[in-house]
Formats: sequence, structure tokens, C-alpha cells
Amino acid sequence: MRGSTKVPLKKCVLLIVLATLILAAGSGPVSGAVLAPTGAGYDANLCVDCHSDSSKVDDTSAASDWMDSIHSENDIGCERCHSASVPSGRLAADDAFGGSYRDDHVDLILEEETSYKAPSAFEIEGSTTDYSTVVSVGLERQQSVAICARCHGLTEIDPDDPKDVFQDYIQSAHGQSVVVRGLGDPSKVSDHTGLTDAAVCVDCHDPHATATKDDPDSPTHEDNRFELCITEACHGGDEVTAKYGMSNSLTSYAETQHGVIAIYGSADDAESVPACADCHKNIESSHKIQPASDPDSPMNPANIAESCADTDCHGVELSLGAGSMHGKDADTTIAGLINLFYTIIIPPIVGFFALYILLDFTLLIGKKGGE
Amino acid sequence: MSGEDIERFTKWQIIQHALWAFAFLTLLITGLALKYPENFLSQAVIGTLGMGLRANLHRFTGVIFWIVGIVHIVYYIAIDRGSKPILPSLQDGKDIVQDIKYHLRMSDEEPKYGRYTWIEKFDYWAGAAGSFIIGITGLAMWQSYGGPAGFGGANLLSGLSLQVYNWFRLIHGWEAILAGSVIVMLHFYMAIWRPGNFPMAMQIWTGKMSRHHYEIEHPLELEELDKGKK
Repeated sequence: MRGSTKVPLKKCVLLIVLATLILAAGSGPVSGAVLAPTGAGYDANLCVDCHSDSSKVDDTSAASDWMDSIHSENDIGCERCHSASVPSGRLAADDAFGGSYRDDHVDLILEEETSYKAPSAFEIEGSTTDYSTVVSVGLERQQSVAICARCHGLTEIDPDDPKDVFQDYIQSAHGQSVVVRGLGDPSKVSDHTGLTDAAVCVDCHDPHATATKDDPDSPTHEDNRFELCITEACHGGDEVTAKYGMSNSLTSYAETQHGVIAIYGSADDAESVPACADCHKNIESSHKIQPASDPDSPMNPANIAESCADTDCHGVELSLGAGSMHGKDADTTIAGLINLFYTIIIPPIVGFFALYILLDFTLLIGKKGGE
Repeated sequence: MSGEDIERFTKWQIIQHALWAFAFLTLLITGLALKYPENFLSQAVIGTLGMGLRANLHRFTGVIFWIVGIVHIVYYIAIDRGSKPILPSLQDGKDIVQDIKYHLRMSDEEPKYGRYTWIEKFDYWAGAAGSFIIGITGLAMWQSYGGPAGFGGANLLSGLSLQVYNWFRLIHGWEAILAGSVIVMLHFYMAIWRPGNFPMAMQIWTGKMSRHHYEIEHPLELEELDKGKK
């Protein structure tokens, strides 16, 4: 029994329980003891009480939006995103918030004339400091990825749960462009990784009026996704698209038959043709938007025929191969020559016969007048 | 004898023209609505028909267009072995020069035409060439995403890239503009608006033309008819 130490069984069990609790708390989103709005002894409505009162805050929209949101419905309160004390899973706090905490709420209680107390004045689980630093409402867009990921997939809550979308997002063209290197698949890190223009969670999902894609009012509802993608700041803006060598999707989509039908047809017509996500999303996840160059993209030249043959679309395999459905290939030399040819031949033909008709008409009218 | 009507077109030709005219105008209206959807006339077409019916009408009349074209070609090559006065000849060149001089008041002598004037021949052959290009590109585009049943094995764009599809689309649209311009401007003028024909030259619908008109428009053919050479 060299070097052996006898440990009492009770202590062993306690150690195991403690370790389990620590690990559970450290895993972030599942640690209801810390995060649950009410379970922590802190009621999310305390935030709403003040932030929905226009005599106390200038902008009450965030609170009112949240009250109608899917988050509110599921008891996901303000502190999930705004409190710096929330364990951030595998992300360091600085990554999540960029160190941009602000102490407004601490300052407020120092002002004697303030008639209400900031959250830091409330005792939470024996500590007055847990909620004393509330992250600025003006979070950087990119920070939303880290914040949303804490609940939506960075930690594996339930792999089968549809909200577990972070892994899909970081494999997408958007995710690869935004998320810091190392979080996604390193082989897919592109030259654009780290750029700040690509879409992050809050660009598509309102951070306060968060709704599911099944809600017709949600920007992510299938009827609204086209407008979502072609905003000036995203794929419908000349500046951004030119910056990354992409075509303006609004302009180029409008040149296609799909686009014409969607834009100029009735609502029923629009539903009959694909909009952005119908073709570009990965079959398994609409968060996994991939560039056509990705072999897994439905719009990869190798997959186009099969994608268009979807039973909800053409139902038969297209015979078309590589190329752009957006019509940007029309700007090639041959397309230019075709345009040039007809631009040259049509005006003289039309002009010649217009003149002929004019002369013929005046000649015959003159003849009749002379008779 | 000036009140006498002379047979100018057979029933067979009248039916072909009627079907062709219906198909052409429907294709033009339903096609341009897609090419220029922002135009108010296109909006009226789209609003009335809806995009789905517009597309199906375009394809349906496209099939009529093809069938009439093929039947026409087969008939005049394999069945009707008679003379083909619609074929261009050197005389057409001389007629064009003389007609232009006449219209520019450089000559008082109007060219005398046989069965067809040079404008009618231009209408026919330019229309035939344009129809061939429009027909091929249209069918190829339709075939590329399914096409009419029974044509599955004859896919013109098979294996070609989307670039080719886009080129076909460009050509199809430009040809429609060219053909539409010529038909609406020249053909409609000659058949409808031309003094003497207004409100419409009816020979293509009745098959008959008055001797008076024949004397003015096709005097050489009338001479031959009177001589009993035909």
C-alpha cells in the first residue's frame, strides 16, 4: 500500500457532486441556477419595469419588443445577453463583450435623487455585484454571435434541438467571414474571415423582437427572406457587393425569370419561384448558407441540376451546367457581341422602313388628293 | 370586270396565316411582358393573366408556332411541287431600286409586281429567319428545364453551361424585338393602315382580292392569270 491515502466515502461523494455542479455551472446556458431569470432570484421584469417606462428611459422599444418575443415566451430574460456575469461557456468574457461593460447602473444608485434602484442594488444569491455591470445596449454586431451562441449551439444543449444552429452558422459563408479563426472548420477559413460586413445573428434576427421563422411577421419567415437578403447593407447594396467581388443580388436576381416573377408577379406567383435561401441554403440548415464554390452548396455547378430537380421546383433534372443563375454571366464578351449585333442592325432596319412608310403614305395620300 | 374577285390565297394558306398570326402576337405579348416587366403594358398583361398563365400561354402558342412552321416547310418542299414565286430573284433587287426611286420622287414609274412584291418577300423571309432563331432558342430554353413532353431526348442545351442559356435568352429577346418591330410597323402598315387597304386588306382572310386591287398591286400576275398561263 505504498503512498496510498484512505479517503472517506462521504468525502468522495461530496467531491463528485461538487465537481458536477461546478462543471454544470461552467457550461453556461444549461446552468439554470445562474442564468434563469427568476431562478437566480432576479426577475427579468425588473429590467422591463424600468425600460418600458418612458419617464425613466429614452427608448422603450427594446423592452416592448422583448415582451412579444419568443425569448420572453420561453423566460429568456435580459440578463442572458446583457449581463457580464453570465458565464460565457467556452468564450472568454472579453471575446463576448469586448470589455465594453458600462457601469451606468452602478452610477445610478450613487445619485441620491434617483427614485429607483439599479439592479446592482439588489442582492442576488448573496452578492450585490453579480448584476452590477450591465453590458451596453449598443453591443457590436459581431458580439451577438458569441452571445447567441451561448444558448444556440456553442455548448451542446441538445444536438437534435433546432435552436442548436451555431455549428451550422460557423460553417456558412457568413460565419466563416465573421467568426474568429479556430471556432469553425479551419479548412474553410477564407480570405474574408474576420470581416465585419457579413451577416451575424442580429442582422437577420431582431435581438429584442426575436421571433421564430414560423411567425409571418418575422424577417426570417420564408415570405420575408428575400427582403432580408437584399438590403443595401447586404446583397442588394452596390458598395458592399463590389467590395467583395459579388454581383448585386437584387439587380442580378431581377434579371432572371425567377426574379421577374417574384418581383412583378402576384403573391402567389412569388411563392412559386425560389428566393435567395431556397437555392443557397444547405438542405439540412438554412443557417448554413454557402458560396456556390463550396462542393456542399446546392448551387455548386455539380449540384445545380439536382437542386433544381427538387420536387418542389422543376421536378426534373436540368440539363444546365456551370454558370450563374443570376445572369451576371450575361456580361461576357459573347453576350456583349450579341447585344452589339442587334443594337447595330435593328435601328437601320426600323429606320429604313419607317421612312419608307412615311414616303409611301404621303405619296398615296397625294395621289388620292390629285384624283 | 372591275368588280370581279380573284382568288389570291387558298383556304390552306388562310388557316396557316391565321394560326401563325395568333401564335406570333400571343408570343410577342406574353414574351415582352417577361422581358420588360416594369412597363405599364406588361404590368397589365401580368396583372390580367398572372405569371403562371402567361408562361403557359407562351409555351402553348410556341408549340402552335412550331407545328405551323414545320407543316408549312414540309408541305411546300415535299407535297406542293409547283413553282415557288415567294423565292427571291434578281428582279426583286431591281424592284427595290426602282421602288426607292419612285418613293423618293426620282422616278414616276412604279415597279410592276408579280405574285409577291419585294416587301412581301422581305416580310416572309425575314419572318422565317427570325422565327427559326426564336423557335430554336425558345425550345432549347424550355427543354433545359423540362420542356414539352416527348422531347426529352432532344435537349439542345444538354451539357452546356448556364452561360449558353443566358446567350439564348438574349438572342430570343432581341429577335422578338426585331420581328415584332417589323411585323407591327411594316406588315401592319401594309395590311391595315396603307391608304386603299384601311381598315384592313381582307384577302388573307377571305382568300379573294378585287381585280382593281390586283391591277394596282400585282399587275404582272394578273396578266398571266388572264392569259390562262396559271
